[in-house]
Amino acid sequence: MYKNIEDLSLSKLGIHVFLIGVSISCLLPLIWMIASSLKTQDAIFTNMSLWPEVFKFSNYTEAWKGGRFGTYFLNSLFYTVTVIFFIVLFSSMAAFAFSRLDFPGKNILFYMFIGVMMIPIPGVFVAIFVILNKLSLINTRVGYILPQINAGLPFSIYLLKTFFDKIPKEMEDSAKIDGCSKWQIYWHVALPLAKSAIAVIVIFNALSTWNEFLLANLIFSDADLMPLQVGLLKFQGERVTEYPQLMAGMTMTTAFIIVTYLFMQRFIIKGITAGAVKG
Amino acid sequence: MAKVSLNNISKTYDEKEYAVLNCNLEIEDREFVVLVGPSGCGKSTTLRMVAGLESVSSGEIMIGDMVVNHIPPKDRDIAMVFQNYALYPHMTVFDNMAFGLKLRRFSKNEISERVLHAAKILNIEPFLHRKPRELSGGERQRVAVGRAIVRKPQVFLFDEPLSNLDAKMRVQMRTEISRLHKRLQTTMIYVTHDQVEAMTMGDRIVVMNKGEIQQVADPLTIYEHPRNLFVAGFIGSPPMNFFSGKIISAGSILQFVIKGMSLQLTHEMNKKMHSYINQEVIMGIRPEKIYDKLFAKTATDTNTITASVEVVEQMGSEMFTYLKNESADFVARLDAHEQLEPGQDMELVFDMSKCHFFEPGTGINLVD
Repeated sequence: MYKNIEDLSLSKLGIHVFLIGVSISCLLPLIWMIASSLKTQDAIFTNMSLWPEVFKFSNYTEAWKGGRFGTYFLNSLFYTVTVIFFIVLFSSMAAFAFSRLDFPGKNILFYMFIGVMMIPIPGVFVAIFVILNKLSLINTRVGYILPQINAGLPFSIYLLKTFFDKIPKEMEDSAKIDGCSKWQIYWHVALPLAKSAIAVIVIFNALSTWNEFLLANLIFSDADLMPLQVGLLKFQGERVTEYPQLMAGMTMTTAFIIVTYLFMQRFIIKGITAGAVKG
Repeated sequence: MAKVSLNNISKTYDEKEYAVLNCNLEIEDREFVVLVGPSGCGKSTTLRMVAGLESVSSGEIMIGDMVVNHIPPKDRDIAMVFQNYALYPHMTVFDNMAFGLKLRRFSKNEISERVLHAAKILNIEPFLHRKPRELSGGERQRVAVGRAIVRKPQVFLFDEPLSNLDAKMRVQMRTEISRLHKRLQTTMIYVTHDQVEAMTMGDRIVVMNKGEIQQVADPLTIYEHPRNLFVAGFIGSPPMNFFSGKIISAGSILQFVIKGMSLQLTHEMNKKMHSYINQEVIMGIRPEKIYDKLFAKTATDTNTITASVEVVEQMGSEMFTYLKNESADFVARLDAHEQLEPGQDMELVFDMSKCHFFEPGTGINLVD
């Protein structure tokens, strides 16, 4: 990394020590969680080592079956995929309209969307609950999905609009001459070019939907509909908490989001328009 | 293949600012017409109106026998090549060229046949499966041209297609586009701000300024008989020399005078300029029509002036000599082997049979 030892000044050394410290403080709980998920219930309290004496992989199968983890996992998967699908669909269409079409009230409408980003989501929980209740959507999947799509839209629209703005006008003209309608420009040109922005949107919204707890806790009473985060709470029994199974559940929960991130990361490619327009 | 007619077309913004004003132009079938002018002269706007990318504020555009004012670009049977190539970065070269055909639902065989044929013409066969970012500027521009020719349109439109290329590539592509025109025999409209491109490529040149057409003619006519001061100054490098002075009558012959310098008009010019005696005019003469007296064949006292050399630009094949005297600054295109030093005085002969006179107010050429 450094060509010679003089480059490694004291301040740089300090920065590195600090960053390594931050990394350890982030990774340690994760490693501890994984280690605990492989221990027995007794060993959790007696063996403080990060290396279990006996590896109890059955914690995972027990959590999946016995703790209804499978149901929660599939629920969460369903909610996340559905929410992301609609966020990407609606936000890309809206952002394309804000960026490339002319219609009355365009700017006001756009600033309204941006303004919504300023409102913290828990601040509108009462309103959401009242609306969902009036629409009889409490304790339903739709009632859980709709507010989350709504919450994810402003940021996604903002991000994609900035992105679409950067697509050269000439590329749109060229598509028009090639025979594209507005819809076809959106579908064949704008959307494929926005791949990396969409990857960012997918990751951000996957994280927030997968980790969502408050709303689910608020509207679900039926355990069959609950997502993971609320489900995990069920592992904390009234008298005994099965820590190894809880940790196994949490490891699986976290693994999903890490895999998603690793998979999407390769789409965040630099310079989408590289090659289209000479800089 | 079709002819293109612009009938009195204008483009205005907010009903005040105009980009193009009352343009009339008939472009014949299979003709190569170049629109040239400085930035903001309306040449690109005119081309975009023909393409259908800009609406026409008034007037009528016809492609073939059809008025196309309200027909969308895709139905005008045109293809356009842009300055920035405007290739789709997420598609391969093949897909870029095939895209327009796919949208028009051509069969797979037909698409592949047409793309391969175009690729062969343009020598881009080896790149067909690469993405645009893996190509050089010249190769990208070839792909952009390829994308246009696979469609076999009635009219090709080029919007400054060579501006982003380096000098050498530009010269090469210039020849290639001219060759392509001969091969395809299609109507082409080409926009550029580069007068060399205009002179070398066009069957006819349309010189534009401030949204209006100044002159439409073949390259040599534009060069030798510019209709006005703007055309005279815009076409030619180095540009035409201009001198502000007065026509006076010395007996039966006319003279053009500026402070201490007087030049006698030729017999032919005499007739044309007779009605401008004692009036201010602008005289224009091309740098190559000024000679060193030592080598001039027709030197007389009435067409020779003295000036001192300011700067010498050696071009190898010729030499641009910037001169100055008390009346004017001007440039002469002299032989590359002349021994000239800045500061030295020299006598120069003006070929008065090739000079032009312009009216100062309107800029109109009075002798052509």
